[in-house]
Amino acid sequence: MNREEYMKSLSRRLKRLPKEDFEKAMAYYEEYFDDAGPENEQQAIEDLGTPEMAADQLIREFALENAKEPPASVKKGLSAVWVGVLAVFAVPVGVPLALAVVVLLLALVIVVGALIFSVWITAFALMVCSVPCILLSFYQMTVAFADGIGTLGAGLVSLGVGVWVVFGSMALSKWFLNVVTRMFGKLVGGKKREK
Amino acid sequence: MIFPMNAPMFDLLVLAIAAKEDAYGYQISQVVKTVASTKDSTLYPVLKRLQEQGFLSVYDQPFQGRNRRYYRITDSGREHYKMLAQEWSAYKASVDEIVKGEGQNE
Repeated sequence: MNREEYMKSLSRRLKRLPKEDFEKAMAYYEEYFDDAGPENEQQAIEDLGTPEMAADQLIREFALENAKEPPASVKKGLSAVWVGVLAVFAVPVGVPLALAVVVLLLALVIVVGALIFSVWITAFALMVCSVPCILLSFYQMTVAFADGIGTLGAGLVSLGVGVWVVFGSMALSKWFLNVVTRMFGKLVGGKKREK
Repeated sequence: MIFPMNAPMFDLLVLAIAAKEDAYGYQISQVVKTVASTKDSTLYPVLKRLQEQGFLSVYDQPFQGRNRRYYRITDSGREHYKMLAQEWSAYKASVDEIVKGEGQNE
């Protein structure tokens, strides 16, 4: 293995990290190689340890950090969960039992995630349905005024409930992503870090 | 070294090095290497964590047409360093007491 291969392997394993953190880590390793000098390239690779190990350690550190604070947005929360999943697989433990635990936990996460996703879809459907309903009601009012008002009302209710459910599912998603991230953090060894 | 390194020990060593003078990554790993049997990759997460805790700050300086990232100890870093250093001396003294005490019994 040479420097280029080392960096390529490292970048492949770290690419799931947030962009800024990824770039910082890569810059650190580039600098390390530069400082070691081309004549010490092999020694540097030997001293650094395998790219797999380097990436695993870093991902575990990220998972621990993410577990400490709730996500600022759903998108960040999703990325944190993803790093958490990677971190769990990066833990050096006996494989069969750990794998069973991880698969079980993942199944749980997917089930709850699917439930929350269905709430999102419901909210979305409510909002989408309300649009033609409201538009149609104006035409209907010219034909039968009372019916038109009724349709307008139904459309507005649907829109209102839809917006309300969107906010609800947003909060629910953030909460859930936070719980999952924390769970992975603990699994990876968060307890050791607390003073 | 056959004795394992842990997180506080890494923190202590890195802060001690940075307390002497601002240092860059490779330089720090060369010093830490003299006592640690761990791979140099271990150091990056440590540096990152110390930055996030506000114990180290970083700045870039051009060196031979490229960048070098220097780590500088902060005031709270110095305090943390002092605390860790005290903990370490106390620990070392207790261990020495046991180790040397047993030696005299033989």
